[in-house]
Amino acid sequence: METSQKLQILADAAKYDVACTSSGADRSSDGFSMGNAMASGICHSFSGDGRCISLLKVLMSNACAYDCAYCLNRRSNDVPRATFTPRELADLTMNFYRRNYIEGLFLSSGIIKNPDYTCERMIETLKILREEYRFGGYIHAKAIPGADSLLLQRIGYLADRMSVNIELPSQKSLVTLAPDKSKSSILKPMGFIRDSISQNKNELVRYKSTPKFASAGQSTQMIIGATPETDYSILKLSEALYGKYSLKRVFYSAYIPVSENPLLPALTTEPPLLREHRLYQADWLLRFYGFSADEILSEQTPDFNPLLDPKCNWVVNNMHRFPVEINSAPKEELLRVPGIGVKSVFKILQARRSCKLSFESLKKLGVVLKRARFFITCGGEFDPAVSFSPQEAANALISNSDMKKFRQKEQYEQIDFLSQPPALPQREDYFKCLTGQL
Amino acid sequence: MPDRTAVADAADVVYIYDGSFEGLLSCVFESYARKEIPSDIVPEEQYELSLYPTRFIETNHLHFERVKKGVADKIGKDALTAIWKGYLCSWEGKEIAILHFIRMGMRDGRRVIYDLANDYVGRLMKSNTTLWNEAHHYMGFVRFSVYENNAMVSVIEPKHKILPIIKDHFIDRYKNESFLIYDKTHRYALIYSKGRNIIIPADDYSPPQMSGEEQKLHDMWKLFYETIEIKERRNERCRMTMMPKRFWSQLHEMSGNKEANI
Ligand code: SF4
Repeated sequence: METSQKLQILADAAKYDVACTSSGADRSSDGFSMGNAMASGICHSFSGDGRCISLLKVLMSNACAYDCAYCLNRRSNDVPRATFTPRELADLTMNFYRRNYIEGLFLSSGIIKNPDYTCERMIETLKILREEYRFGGYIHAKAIPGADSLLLQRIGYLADRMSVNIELPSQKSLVTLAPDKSKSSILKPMGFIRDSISQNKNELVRYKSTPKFASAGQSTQMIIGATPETDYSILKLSEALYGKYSLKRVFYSAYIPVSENPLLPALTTEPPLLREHRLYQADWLLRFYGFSADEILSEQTPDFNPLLDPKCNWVVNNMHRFPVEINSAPKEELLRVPGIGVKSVFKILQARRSCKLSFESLKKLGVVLKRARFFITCGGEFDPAVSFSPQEAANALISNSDMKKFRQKEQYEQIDFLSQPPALPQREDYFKCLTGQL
Repeated sequence: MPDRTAVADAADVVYIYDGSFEGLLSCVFESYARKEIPSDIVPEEQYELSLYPTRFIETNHLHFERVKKGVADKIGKDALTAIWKGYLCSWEGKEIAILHFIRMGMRDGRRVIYDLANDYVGRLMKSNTTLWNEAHHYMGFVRFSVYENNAMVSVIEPKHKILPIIKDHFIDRYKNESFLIYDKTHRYALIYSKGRNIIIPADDYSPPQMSGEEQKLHDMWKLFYETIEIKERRNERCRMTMMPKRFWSQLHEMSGNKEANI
């Protein structure tokens, strides 16, 4: 089979895996090798779905021996199969890298024969790249659940980032839908990678020449909407993964139906994109805004509000903490103002060192006031341009794009208070919904 | 630097300079020497007609060095870098803003770069971000074609003069290669080969004909690009925001791509 034909099959088979960023490793070329890896990550292109392309994302093989119900490559599915040879894949990576198409390789694989054999093929590829071609670009490798830990360790020394996909956010779902895997076969390599990374960090302090083990850390991916877990339980799981397993990133992927199976959503089900979007927003709050999962959702309200992003939702429930004074509030409080992000907070903290800030100066700093101005004061005063009608407050909190999505009636069925949506509600109605919910 | 406490008057005169960074700082020197603030400073290339009298400011290396040193000592190295990057960026009224920024800084010292609420400072800092954003885009969007002798060539059309900004990145990345990046907009090129690099003006450059093997690789990349898209999640608007059309002409994967319909 021609390389290009294999590329088509194996890129197609890998494309639903979203755990693909190339950030986190900062390495400069050592003079003999080709390539560097930049900490901020570089997008080399954007595909038609708007996603960043930074890595050559392919499977080593899609001829999988397992039969996970939610996966296109499952044994029982009738699709064309292909397998790269290690040399072929290494050459392709180098050729793409030279033309500045990619930052590196994202290598995953279906189970060829058994997990150990699969890992060996992957190691072979990475060895050609790193040792023979002296490739210094970024490599993200998937750990294959169930593989020998010695093999995983070898991958870890060749890759910048390793990941093990959790896939389904609970043990119960795993048992029913991925009979060949189990939570322990997933968590075991995760714990192993974590320990190897931290042990390696200690060694690096002691011996400068120690090779680096997955220096950019590990990440994982969960499929959203294939199984009945609530947003709250998913977010709690993410929080634990960041904490207990020191993960760098958790990725969420809206389930796109791939098979007719009574245990899975029907083939006609739209992928729950809004839910996925809200999870990313909340995840962001966990990682950069100092929120905890319990502040964002709870047993009582286990699902996201379709109209308010998680931060605004928190604000609506914590009105007593506002307004916040721009000139004196600590960083943590500024971060919780709707519409003010990490960058704006940084600018405010910097600018207020040299002078007292007014609404005018905030605008000049490029701080977007559309939402924020209802919740902040400058020198004890509200923005004189603000009149506090509920209409305006609602306008401030509901983003236009959310409104539009709502109008298009995307998958909001799971949300209770909107179970009988009015024909085409106006903004006031939304606001009533919201206040009614308080 | 000349006496920096002296008050300067707004003058009805337009300074013209050769468009170089040295030339621009020579204008700043001139403004101090003459105790006047010109109503505008324009590069020769862009000068059309003005109702004001004009004065051509000869680029003077000594003046340039003095202003540079003055800025570095009094306002700081960061400020000097910010000015240089502001110069590389294309924006309305940049020369005058830079002049005012320097004058404010010479008077008030280092803290001026935090005074983002000031119009000149704010716009200068913003231009730095604009420049960096485009440079960052191009770190991803530069496309090389590889020729028989292994030389790599890329042609780009950036809005701003980003070659000095992306230089180190590409040299680090392709340390053992030879490459050329030609900036078609500003008509100059970065050339790197075996540890040495040079940025030179080049009026007309077009890359040689590609081999069939090379075309095959371009096609494979295009194939990968098209395959990796999740069709169920097509989002043309998002793609256009992240990768505006002005970049498309240089991207191998977008060749033959018709007007996107939103
Ligand atoms: S192991 Fe399961 S999820 Fe992975 S490729 Fe095979 S069938 Fe798909």
